[in-house]
Amino acid sequence: MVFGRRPGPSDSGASGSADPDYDSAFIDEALSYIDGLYGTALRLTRKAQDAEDLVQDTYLKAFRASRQFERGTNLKAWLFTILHNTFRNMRRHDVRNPVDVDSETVEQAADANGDERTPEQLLSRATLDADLQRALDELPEAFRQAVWLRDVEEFSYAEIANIVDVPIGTVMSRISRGRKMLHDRLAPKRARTAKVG
Amino acid sequence: MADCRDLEPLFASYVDGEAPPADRAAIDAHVRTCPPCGERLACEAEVRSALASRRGQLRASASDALRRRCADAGRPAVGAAARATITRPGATIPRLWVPLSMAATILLAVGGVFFYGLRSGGEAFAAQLMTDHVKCFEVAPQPTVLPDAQALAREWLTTRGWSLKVPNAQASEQLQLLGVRRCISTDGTTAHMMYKWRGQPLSVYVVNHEDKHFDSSPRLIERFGQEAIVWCARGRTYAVVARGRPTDVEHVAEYVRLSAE
Repeated sequence: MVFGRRPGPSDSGASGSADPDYDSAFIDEALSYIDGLYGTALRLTRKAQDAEDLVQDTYLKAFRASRQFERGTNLKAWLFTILHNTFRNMRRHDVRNPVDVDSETVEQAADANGDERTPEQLLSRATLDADLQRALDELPEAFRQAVWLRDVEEFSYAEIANIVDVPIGTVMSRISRGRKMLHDRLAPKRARTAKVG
Repeated sequence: MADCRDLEPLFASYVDGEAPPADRAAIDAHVRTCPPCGERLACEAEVRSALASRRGQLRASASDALRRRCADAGRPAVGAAARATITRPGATIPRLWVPLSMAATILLAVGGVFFYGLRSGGEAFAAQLMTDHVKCFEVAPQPTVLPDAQALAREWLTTRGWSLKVPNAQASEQLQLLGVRRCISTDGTTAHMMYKWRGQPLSVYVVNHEDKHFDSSPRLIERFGQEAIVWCARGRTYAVVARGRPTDVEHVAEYVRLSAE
């Protein structure tokens, strides 16, 4: 998508706010990502109302700051970055869910969850959908984000690193370990299903 | 021969088919002598494939209401102009005002803060609350059952960690309690109590600290066709935001002050 010329900060003497002369192509493309943003918000907040608030706040911030968007770069990744930043700010003040973005702690959490290894190799397609949703939601947040952004939203490693604000090596590690954790959570379910069947 | 730990950071790109040839060759050589790593790669590839094949089912669809609200945020609406006369304390001044949609009000509020500047930090604070007032009433669902003020206060204490007095609905003031929420745009630090007052939205905000621009004397600030009355008490900042005659807003704010502090 190629946008029309977006005015620079000096064009109207205003900055950092919504511009009445919005480029409709910019708005249309931004809104085309609403399902992805909502799905990701749902994975982050786990509550539909909070997810809706998060998405709406993301769009408000994006439209206010539309002039800061660099034309020709990835609008989808820019929106997801705003979404994650907004979520982090929200969490920082939520006593129910203290922020757990410390990298070392996160990596240790992965190790702690890695002891349930199973030789199961293949996942049952019949039971996968519900189990997959549940297993994804059970992953520690940092791993859930990394796997979701890569395998569902199809972002590159560099884009994910920018969105979640961690080094690219950490992103790759979280994707790999997140996939493994997901498999470990799914395989016992599949084994139980096989025994019952 | 590379160690398992040395190669682990490359697993994701290997499974994704994005590993450089040298890395791919190193992993291929390693897994020929390391069955656990081969098994690990197979697990990851299986999960990757499962997720990829179910993207459609995993992705959620935003509701039509959410789409509309987000679209409104980007497209300034044009409201019809109307005349109204309000009474200010000490004088009767005809005032031209415009009924605003949510988007237009937010544009004006944000524009008011950033385009034209405000006379004081207190006005910027009030403008932010006015913006949140409009936005939250657009976002929040209408309750099917009117909530209980005490139950909301208990829930707030449990979930947010600080106590809150929620003024009850008051028939004589035509004040109806709708709910309590935290505003994401204020990073969740502010309690937003939402009411219907004479059928129109009314917000009561409680910030868990004293804003330096205000003191114990309630101060009236008018912007964007709305009135905000702000004051500090007992280490907190309180604000009532509504659209109406200032004297009427002051009257309901007095009830709130007596109930919420």
